[in-house]
Amino acid sequence: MSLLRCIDLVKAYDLGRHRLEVLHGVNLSVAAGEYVAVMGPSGSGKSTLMNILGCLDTPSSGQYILDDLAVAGLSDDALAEIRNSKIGFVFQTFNLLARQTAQDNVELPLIYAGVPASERRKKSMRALSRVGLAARAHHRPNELSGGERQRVAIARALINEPSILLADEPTGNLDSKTGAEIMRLFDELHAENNTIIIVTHEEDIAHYAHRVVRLRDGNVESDERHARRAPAMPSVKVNL
Amino acid sequence: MTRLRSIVYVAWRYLGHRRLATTVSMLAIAASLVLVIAIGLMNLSVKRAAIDSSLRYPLVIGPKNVGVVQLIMSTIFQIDRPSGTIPYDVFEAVEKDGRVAAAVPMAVADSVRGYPIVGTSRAYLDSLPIGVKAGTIDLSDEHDAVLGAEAAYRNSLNVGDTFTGTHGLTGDEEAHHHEEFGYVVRGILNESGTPSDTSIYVPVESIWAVHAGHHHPHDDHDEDEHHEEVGDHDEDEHHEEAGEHDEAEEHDDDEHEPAWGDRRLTAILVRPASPAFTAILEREISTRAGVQAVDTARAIRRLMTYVSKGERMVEAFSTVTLAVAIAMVLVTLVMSLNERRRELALMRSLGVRQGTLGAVAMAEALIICLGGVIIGTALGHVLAALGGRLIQTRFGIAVDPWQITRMETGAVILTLVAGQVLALAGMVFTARMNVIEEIARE
Repeated sequence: MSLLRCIDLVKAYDLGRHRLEVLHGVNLSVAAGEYVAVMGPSGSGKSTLMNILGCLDTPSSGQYILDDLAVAGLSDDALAEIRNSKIGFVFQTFNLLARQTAQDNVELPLIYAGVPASERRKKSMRALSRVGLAARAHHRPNELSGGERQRVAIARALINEPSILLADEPTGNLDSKTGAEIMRLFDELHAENNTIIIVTHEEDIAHYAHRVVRLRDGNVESDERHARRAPAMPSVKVNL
Repeated sequence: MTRLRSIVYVAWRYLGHRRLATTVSMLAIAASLVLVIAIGLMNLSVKRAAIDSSLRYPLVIGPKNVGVVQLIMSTIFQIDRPSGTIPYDVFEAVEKDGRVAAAVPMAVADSVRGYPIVGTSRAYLDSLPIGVKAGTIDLSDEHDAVLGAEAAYRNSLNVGDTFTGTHGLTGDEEAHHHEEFGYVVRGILNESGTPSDTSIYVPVESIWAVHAGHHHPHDDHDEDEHHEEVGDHDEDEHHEEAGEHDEAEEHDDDEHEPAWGDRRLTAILVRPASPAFTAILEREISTRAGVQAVDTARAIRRLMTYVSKGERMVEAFSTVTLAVAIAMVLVTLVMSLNERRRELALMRSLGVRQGTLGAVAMAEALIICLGGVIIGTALGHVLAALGGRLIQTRFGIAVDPWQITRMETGAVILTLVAGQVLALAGMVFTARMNVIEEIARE
């Protein structure tokens, strides 16, 4: 039983007279509890696919079915509702609100959903504890390290217990040691039965996943399942 | 309900992040509204007082060569000091005239600490639509006095108390005190919100007596001389200011100007038996040397055109202030929305509806405008209450500080409508944003 399914997914942009097709009929199916890495060079369409999977964008044609719901024809508000309840985003740049504490940031998805303050506090503390940051709940982002910021972002993504955790280059702004820590956190979350999709162009990171989908020029080039073969120690490669 | 609450909560938090800009915007709106309210109330009160008075006495007779507006200001509002006098026989003639229903003599020369002593007749007091608070309306003796509520209160005078006047209307301590002529308080009028509140009414004869200086057997010689010296000097000044050459020529007197002792008046208020007589009487009386009659209503209309001109200018000014204030809110809002483009995009990715984000922007604009309106109207009316007290004390014009003027209603509606428009601008701004581009931006 698949959690999400893409059937002949096409995404094209109208650029004046030209039509730029970014995805040319992608077929993909992800089951609940899977840990998938989507890889590909820039321009391969992986960001576009990620946006569609995250319901930030809709396909030009084809079907995207999430939790038995056909997403393609939904309104903006319905998409927002899905994002809020079913998808947890983790971004490369963390996207935390600088003026608010870690806890406030984690609470954001609940505030607009009208969740009462006491419940928000409880849930956000639980999520922060889950990523090992309970002690830092009242710090602002600028008082936190890069790894801690990403943990806050992950806690925010987890707060509504989403169906999928969608991470876009989650270690792109971190040094490799911190990156490995974050990846270990994803491992733990996967062990707790979360479905995780990571978009990355780094092989090291992709190796944490149990399945690697490679895109090239808007098509699925390969789709491999493998036993996890992440290095026991993080590689010494430094991303700048 | 919880959704609305969370929208207001988030909007409030955003405003809290920009406390200075929010406060300044609110205060700018509030300040313009204070201006609008103060001006509106001032205008309304002056107009109302003027119209009330003009209805009771459609004609005012005063000396020629005195500006019509000045004549009205000095007789009806007792604001301006009356300049020049007319002989009492004008009054006698007018009173006898069959076309006149009522005529009231007025002689104003002295004051008690700035509150004018108005020499008049008992008939005038009876015609005032104000009852007595204490004592009786009695001006049968030269030394009787009936005080307006404010004049009595401010001078701590009660029925039975005695007081003396000071020459001139300024309440100047240096001015000559008519200590030789005392008045006894016979009655105190109710508060009315009219110039009567600040007036001290005495029989017109007493004004003549005070200034004649020969009526009092008790006066010793020294005092007499003193009075005359000072009197001379004062009258001289008066003469120069008023420039009343006609009258000086008319009367063959030791002094350059007719003495009060010669039964002079500053003005006569006249109610014709029929409105039809107003114009005729006005024309006839004005033919007498040194005397003019003025149609009160017409003069007040003229006075009001000056006031209206000022009013329009101030109205324009306050509209501009308000527009600037609203523009400020717009700029603050757009700047703040621009500043948090990324944040808004993040919210969208977190599943917040576009409408909700727009509603937050809307709430921010409305909170600022509403806050400005609440602060402005509250402050405006409180200031009007304080300022109105002062105006009533000084000029006897009642200001109802809680009344809502047309100008105020207009300004409040304008502000709230502008707030809505700004809010819509905020909604459009958030709607036009491309979430993916924003969120992907490094």
